[in-house]
Amino acid sequence: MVESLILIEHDRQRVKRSSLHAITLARQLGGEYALLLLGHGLDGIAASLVSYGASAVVVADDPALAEPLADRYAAIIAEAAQKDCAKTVLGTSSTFSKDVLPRAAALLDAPMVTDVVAIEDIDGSISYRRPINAGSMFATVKVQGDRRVLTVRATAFEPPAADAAPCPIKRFEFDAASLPNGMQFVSREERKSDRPDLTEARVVVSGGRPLKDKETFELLVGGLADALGGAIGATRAAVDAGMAPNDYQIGQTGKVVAPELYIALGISGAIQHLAGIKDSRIIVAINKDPDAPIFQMATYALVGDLYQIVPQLIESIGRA
Amino acid sequence: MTDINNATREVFGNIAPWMRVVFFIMIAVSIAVLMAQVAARVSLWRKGQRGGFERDWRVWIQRLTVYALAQKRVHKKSIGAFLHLLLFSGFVVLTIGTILLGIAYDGPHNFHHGWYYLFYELTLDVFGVAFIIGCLLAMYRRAFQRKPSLGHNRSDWWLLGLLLSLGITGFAVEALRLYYTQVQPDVAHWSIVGWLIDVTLLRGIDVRSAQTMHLATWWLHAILVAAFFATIPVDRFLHVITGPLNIAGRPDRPMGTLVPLKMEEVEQTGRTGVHELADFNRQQLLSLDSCMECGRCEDACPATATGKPLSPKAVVIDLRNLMSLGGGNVHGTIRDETLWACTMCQACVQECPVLIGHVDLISDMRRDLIGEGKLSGPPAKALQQIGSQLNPYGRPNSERLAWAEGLEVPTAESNPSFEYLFWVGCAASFDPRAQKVARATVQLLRDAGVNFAVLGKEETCTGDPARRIGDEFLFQERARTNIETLTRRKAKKIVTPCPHCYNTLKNEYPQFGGQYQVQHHSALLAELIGAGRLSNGISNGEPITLHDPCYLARVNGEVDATRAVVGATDDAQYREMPRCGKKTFCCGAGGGRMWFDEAPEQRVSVLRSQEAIATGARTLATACPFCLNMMTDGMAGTQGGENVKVLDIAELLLSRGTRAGR
Repeated sequence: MVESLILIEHDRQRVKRSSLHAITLARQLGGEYALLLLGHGLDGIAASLVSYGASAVVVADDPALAEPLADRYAAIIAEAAQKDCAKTVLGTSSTFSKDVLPRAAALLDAPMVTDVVAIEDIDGSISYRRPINAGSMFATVKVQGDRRVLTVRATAFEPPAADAAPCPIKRFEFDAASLPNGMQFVSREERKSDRPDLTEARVVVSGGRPLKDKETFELLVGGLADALGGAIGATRAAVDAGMAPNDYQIGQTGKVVAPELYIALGISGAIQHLAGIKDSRIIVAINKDPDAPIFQMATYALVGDLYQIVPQLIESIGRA
Repeated sequence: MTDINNATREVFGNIAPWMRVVFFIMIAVSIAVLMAQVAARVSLWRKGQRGGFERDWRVWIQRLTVYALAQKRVHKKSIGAFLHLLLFSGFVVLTIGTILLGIAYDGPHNFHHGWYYLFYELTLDVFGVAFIIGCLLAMYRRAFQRKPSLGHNRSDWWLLGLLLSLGITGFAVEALRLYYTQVQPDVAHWSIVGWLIDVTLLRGIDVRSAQTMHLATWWLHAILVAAFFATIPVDRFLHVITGPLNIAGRPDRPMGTLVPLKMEEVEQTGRTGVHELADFNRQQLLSLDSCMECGRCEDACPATATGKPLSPKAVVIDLRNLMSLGGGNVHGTIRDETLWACTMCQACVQECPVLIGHVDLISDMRRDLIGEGKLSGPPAKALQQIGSQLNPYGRPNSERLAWAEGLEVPTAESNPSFEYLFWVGCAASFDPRAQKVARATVQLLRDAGVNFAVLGKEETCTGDPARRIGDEFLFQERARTNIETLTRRKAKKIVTPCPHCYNTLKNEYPQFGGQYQVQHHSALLAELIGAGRLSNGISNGEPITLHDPCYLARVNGEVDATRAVVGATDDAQYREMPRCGKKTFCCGAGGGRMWFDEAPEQRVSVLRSQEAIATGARTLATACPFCLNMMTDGMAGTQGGENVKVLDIAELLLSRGTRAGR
């Protein structure tokens, strides 16, 4: 019997830190809470969760759960919630939780509130604050019934401290054969890279349309990034042209980066791209067009042919 | 020789009195069916919110004359427009003719004889032929042209078949009547079609059998007329009733404006926008029924042209179907992506012959999506930033004057006696590319000795993107603040390089009490050139074309000033794109689309770039910072575009050496 059951996400090796923020909300709600982990081969991950003050880490570990298929996961989550009589089932807002939790809510016949940023006590009952109107207003909502499913915005809650006495790890027993079979796992694509993560890197080297093709892009942008120990980024145009994969895209519709050093190779500086780099500390732009708008934002501007400049740069950094 | 003054015709001469009774009952029933069906539609419109109709009868008269009678929006060079003219004129003249006949015989004084009668016969024959040719052309068009945006249903063939048989049986009745009543040739000639049938097909038939055939054909024609009445409220025919109603009833507002929401009303109803069909107003529901599915809106729509899930026609028809089913949640019928795909370029609204307000329909449904928190990603972030940073780019508003570095631009504070307030706009303030436009404009104003000032940090987003995306209250918040600032700074004349700021300041701020003389920079620059304070300079001799921004050209009708600035009339190398002037084509950035992600194959800017490149131009001039951004991007991504420079008219003018006579 617990008050809250918290769905924890992981990438098969580690817990996703952001999913721990839901614990902070569970603590605000009061009462005991358990952490729920689904997957296969979870011993190490489960062990890393024992100090978060939960009453237990509940682990559903089975080959049938190796892939995050929403129908199976939702069935387990709903079953675990019923077994523990959890009043609140919650997870952090993410693609994963948006995939599985609405299904679990449906199975539990429970109302669902997404993107919770705070809770309030109004007339003795709990209300949830959530952004509406594209975040310009907040709605405070109450739900009916004695069970509810929530997702919380990670940024609205502090990460919880891991300073409690270790709690037990409980295996969640279930009949794998009776799990739903409506979805089939087809394949998983993961990009392995030795380069740092784009959004966390201290140095980002980024390329635009003049890089011509994938090979040239890798040679010049990748070469300079490796020489500086940085990450690779790209403009939308470079991504459209197939020079760089989608998740390298920086800008309005891509990632937002704020490195200490941002090097823009052959990037003219459309406002859509600049939206993703405006918080960079130092911006270096190399472009052959002296009128390129990016020069108005750049800390250092180098007018010239990147096909001559960049190889020289890579070489001289290598020598240093 | 017949006495012309006695020339007339029999009416019901061949129809026995009891048959006449049957005929009148049949027509009465068919009209009752017509009325009942129209009444059923009216009751559906009445489920909407009260009001929404234009109340000024002078506007009704003016609109009905221009759009219903003169059919201004229908005319264009196409078979469709021509056949509609034939069908429409035929329908109107034949209807008036029938009514006149009724008045002549049932009225106190029978005037149906003599020269009047002969002229009447000739006129009706000519328009009857026009009507039949119209039907045949429509059939040809449906059978062979099969334009997809027109839509093709089996019922269309029934309707056309009905019209054609009405025309043919009408002439058959005429021919047989002339024949069996043995009208003299010099009178019969005037009923030219009937007479020609008499002397060819009917030649040699005896009078009695002609009379029998007349009776049979007369009944066939009468039954078709009754069927026609009963069919009017079904399918495309309905527009003959609803079209004029909507043309008269649509509220009279400048094209570029949206209707303000009132906070008090929202507090009462709990609604921001349209969620249920009945949240539309009655005029909007009527407008759905006025659509005859011609597809002109779809042909003009940049979203449809780029394969996005939006067709303005489909929006109207889907909503109408929902109305026929009794109403309900509009979002069950119209997908969110459909609503977000609209660039609000108003091309559909400009095309619609019956004045349907597609953009208002879409805007109302967008407002509901915003209220429901259904917008996420970059456009939602742009809205947030308009709220928090007072500009959609999320830059600190304290950096508003970064573009003017080194120019020492006067502000309303340092130069309170300014004549023109230069409203820079967020794009020209923060987008490094557009900043050059602001700089160029300032240099030109200086060259011409214009006394101007900017608001600097006091300027904030006009709220235009917020309003188009559907966040009405964010827009109103900006509008109120800006109007307060403009009033405090005593601004009277405003000039801006952004057509969106221009439209909002000029057409929408008056809704909140802000009245100014607003000019787009093209208008002021053209004026300065006209007054000899600036010169057009010298073109570099290369081919040049102009992309008209929607909110300048289509929405505000301003197409001359931009051309005057680029020196279009004196430049042998100046070329127009096929879609130019008021019939321009969107760049893809309007309606908040600037902040949406678009798949490469769905970018409007690419289509437009291809059109510009095809003119052979080496320079594409435009007059909007968003068009500038989109077209630069479009050119970079289009074959041949790398050789085309995209410039604002102010940059172009400055680069040509503009100081007049110095």
